Amino acid sequence: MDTLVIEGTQKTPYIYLDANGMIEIRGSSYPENCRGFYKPVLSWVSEYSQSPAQRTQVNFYFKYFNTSTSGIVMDILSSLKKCSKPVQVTWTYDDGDEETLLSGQNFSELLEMKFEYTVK
Amino acid sequence: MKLNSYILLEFKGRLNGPLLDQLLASLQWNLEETETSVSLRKRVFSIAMESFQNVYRYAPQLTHSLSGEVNDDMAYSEAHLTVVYEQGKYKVKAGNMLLKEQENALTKQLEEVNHADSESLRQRYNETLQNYRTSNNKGAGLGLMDMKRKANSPLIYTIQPYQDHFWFDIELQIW
Repeated sequence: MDTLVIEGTQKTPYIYLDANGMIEIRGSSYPENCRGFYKPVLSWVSEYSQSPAQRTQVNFYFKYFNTSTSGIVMDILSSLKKCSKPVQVTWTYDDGDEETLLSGQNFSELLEMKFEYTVK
Repeated sequence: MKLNSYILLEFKGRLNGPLLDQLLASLQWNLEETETSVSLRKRVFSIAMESFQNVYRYAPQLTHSLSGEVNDDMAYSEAHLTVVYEQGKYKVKAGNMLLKEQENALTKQLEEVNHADSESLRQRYNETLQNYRTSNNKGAGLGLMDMKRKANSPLIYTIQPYQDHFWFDIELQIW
């Protein structure tokens, strides 16, 4: 599988998807057409989860994100949950940004996946 | 100098996608200049982003220019967007035209969100989020639920006759 890299903008995140087991999404995410923006990402992740690396490290670090992005995060993680190999999710948030920490905890609970939390 | 009240953003006019991006960028920058805590700043921005994007998503797209010519490339919505700080509170306000046929469904959603207590709102939010993939209706009110959960006020709104349709105003207070 090819590595997929999407450069970040003011309202869309930097995305790095590497079949060697590194998945990273960081920055702000509030495109008007969220599903359109994330379509290649969702396809990549869905294909990756069929034949994942020995270990997968998933890093999320959002500054600002809209509710449509929350739906996408659910989709991405639901796909990765199907991986036959271990998946580690690290959820990074800005110091003092309780809302983003709480969102991470909520995703973790809804998806029944263990997250590691780090503060920037 | 700490001011008691200030305007962070005020826009009244014809809104399109690129303009909305600029307004949000300027709001983000202005908020970061204030002495507000990270958490409050993020809640204010999130609510503004969600409510302004709702305007962009749901308000009828108009395509006639002021001279009456039709130009599909120049689609816009009439909008009124405000973020102010007054007496210790941030107020995010968004106003847009609402078609007659949109009014019932919107009023129902607003009332349901306002009547839900925080626990049932949390449950509804999570149910909607989990069914997000299968729902085709632009998120089914997820934005409104999120706004109420992040604000300290209910969804304060008015719907008034406007031309042949309605004008919808919504306000959220955050502190």
